[in-house]
Amino acid sequence: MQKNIYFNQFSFKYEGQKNHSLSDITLNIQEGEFLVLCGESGCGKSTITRCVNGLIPEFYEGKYMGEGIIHGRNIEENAPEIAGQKISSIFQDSRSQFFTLNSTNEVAFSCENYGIERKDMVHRVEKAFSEIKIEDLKGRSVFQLSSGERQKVAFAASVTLKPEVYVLDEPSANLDITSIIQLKKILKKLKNQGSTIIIAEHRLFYLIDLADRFLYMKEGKITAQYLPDEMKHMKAEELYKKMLRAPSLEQIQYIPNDSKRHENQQLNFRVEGVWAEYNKNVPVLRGINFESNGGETWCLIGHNGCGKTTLGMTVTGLLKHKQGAIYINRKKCAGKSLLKKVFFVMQEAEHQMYTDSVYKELVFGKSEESLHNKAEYILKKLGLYEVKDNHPFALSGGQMQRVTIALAYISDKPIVILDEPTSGLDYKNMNLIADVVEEMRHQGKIVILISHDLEFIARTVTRCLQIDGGKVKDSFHVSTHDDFNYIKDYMLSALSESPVTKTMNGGAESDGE
Amino acid sequence: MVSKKKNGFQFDPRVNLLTVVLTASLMFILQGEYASVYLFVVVISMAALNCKIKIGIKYTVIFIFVYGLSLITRGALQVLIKAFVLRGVSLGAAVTVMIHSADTSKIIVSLRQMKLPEQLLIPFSVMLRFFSTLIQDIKLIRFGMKTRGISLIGKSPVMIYELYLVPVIMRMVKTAGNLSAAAETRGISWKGEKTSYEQVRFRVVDAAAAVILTGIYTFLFITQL
Repeated sequence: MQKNIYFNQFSFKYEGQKNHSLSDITLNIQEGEFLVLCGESGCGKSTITRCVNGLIPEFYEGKYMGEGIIHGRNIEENAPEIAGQKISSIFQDSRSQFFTLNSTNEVAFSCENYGIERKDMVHRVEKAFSEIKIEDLKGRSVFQLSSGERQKVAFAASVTLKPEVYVLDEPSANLDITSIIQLKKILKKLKNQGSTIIIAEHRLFYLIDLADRFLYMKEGKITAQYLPDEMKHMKAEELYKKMLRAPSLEQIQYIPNDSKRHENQQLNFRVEGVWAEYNKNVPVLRGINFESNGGETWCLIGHNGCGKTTLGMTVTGLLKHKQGAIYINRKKCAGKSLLKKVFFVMQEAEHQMYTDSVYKELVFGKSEESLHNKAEYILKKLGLYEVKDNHPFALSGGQMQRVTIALAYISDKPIVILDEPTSGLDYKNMNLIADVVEEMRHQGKIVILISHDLEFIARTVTRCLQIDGGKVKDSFHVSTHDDFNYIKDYMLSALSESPVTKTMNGGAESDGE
Repeated sequence: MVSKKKNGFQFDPRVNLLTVVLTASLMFILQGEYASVYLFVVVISMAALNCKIKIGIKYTVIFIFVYGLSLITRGALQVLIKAFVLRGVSLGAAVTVMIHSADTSKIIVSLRQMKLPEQLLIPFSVMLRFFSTLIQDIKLIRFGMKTRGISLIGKSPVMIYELYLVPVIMRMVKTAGNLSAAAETRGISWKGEKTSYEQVRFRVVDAAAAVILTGIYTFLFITQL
């Protein structure tokens, strides 16, 4: 059987859409090739992955022209359940790709569907957990897993059928740097096994040593092709022109700004010895202290589970603190009085939309006239003006994320906390959000970022709070390259682990773990 | 199968599903003054037998609270509480016990053993999957409202319903799309015979429980106590 994936002058238009999502694509993906599809959001990357895994044209209907041959099958015959035997798919949001609620059952799910005999299935499931090195995640509730753990379970689930092709759609979108490095190790093992890997991705830094080639897409077309070396040495101006994320984290530089100092003495925020917990006698925060005046953008750094989001929720008043005190302008605040002063943008945008249009969302519960100009301004600034009358749930994930930022901007609360505001965003949209964060800081607000996005941090940070085990390990101003390099080195410490040296078939060992 | 896992004795998922189906069927049919109490007693006994003590206590507190409300309210509100909310608590308890007593996979396996058509089985399993995430979604929506300064105080029940319902439904629709796409690529529509990782067996004690349950509900239906 032919093992390559081939498109010849292939075009595709989703049903109900005016424009083609893919235009005149000619592409030959060889067996064992590692291909990265890059380009800004909406350029057609995901559409190619859907053609390969059979979701197009059966699940996502539309019209196509040209030739698409997947492992010798015409695209029309490549139904997802047929393709699924040899082509495994991993999606961006691992939470909504899980069909069962238990990690072991999830890993067994594909085998059950394809009627793998139980004895063989049990063996495959055990092997998958051991190959991905996640034996400790067996039998866990999928809701108790972190994003990184869920993505690893998704990988374990994908290897059970021993596929020949892996198709991944932005698998790193919700992951921190440590989890991305673990993802990289898994991909390296799969590559060493000889699997064909196709990834649509914004974050390129973890793929630069793995990919055989990068295809740059724009408006549904493949407009350029780069070898890893070419991508690695692409000039910054060229990268930014193409709206591509940095191919190497080491390249990311602090962006000094003349107006970095913008302190607003009218606003003071002090967190004093704050303890907080979800379960009784299991404290997550253990006496957090920090103080800020207005006009600062704080970046919270720390390893997974150190308490960054918990701190965000506690200083917002969403989670009660057990000990300590929080002061705004020297006035002790808790619960509702904190909620009146602090705005928290959660990771999941869908939980923060309540009306039937983007514009109404911004002015909801307020006097519309007074906010009209401000709402129009921020909608234009964030590239949302064209969709202002659309239902928020009809927007793309990136657009919804920007709406939540617009909500924070339009709010009159002086303190704004953003939890992973740029996850899964391309360079252009990340930059738009960075601009808005800067603007809020210039207005004298305090912005607190919980983010793993180093490029975003480089553009916005003025203060850093390092948290370790629920305590403040360090707190410092960021105004020089050295200050920023401390943050960068801390985040990149995950990269220092040794590379994988053996293949999965040969014993599945990674030196770093 | 009666599983004696680390969380104790549990009936076969089909027995717990039977409790849900019978409670849902009878909750609006029973007319008696204390029908809601009888329904609740049956459901809470099933919770106890399934070793779901915490769930039982939680729902008992809720039931007592709502029952108290039904005594102090008057008119249409009293009717609403008695006819819907109070009986709804029993159904909620039955569904919670079913979900917490067996993973979705076990429930699906047991239904597959009953030769339920896949066309019914798949939507049912999707429904179970969503029910489990519902509480989490509602919690996050409440957080979102709090931080947006949206207060429910003084808002009409219809408005409150909309504020919660719109994001919950839209979130579900979106998740359903993603979930279906992922499931399609993992062979859910594969026409061949399916196999199961989980092993489920219907034992004598499950059969006895099913007969007793059916008997109690039939008695309640006939006597309209």
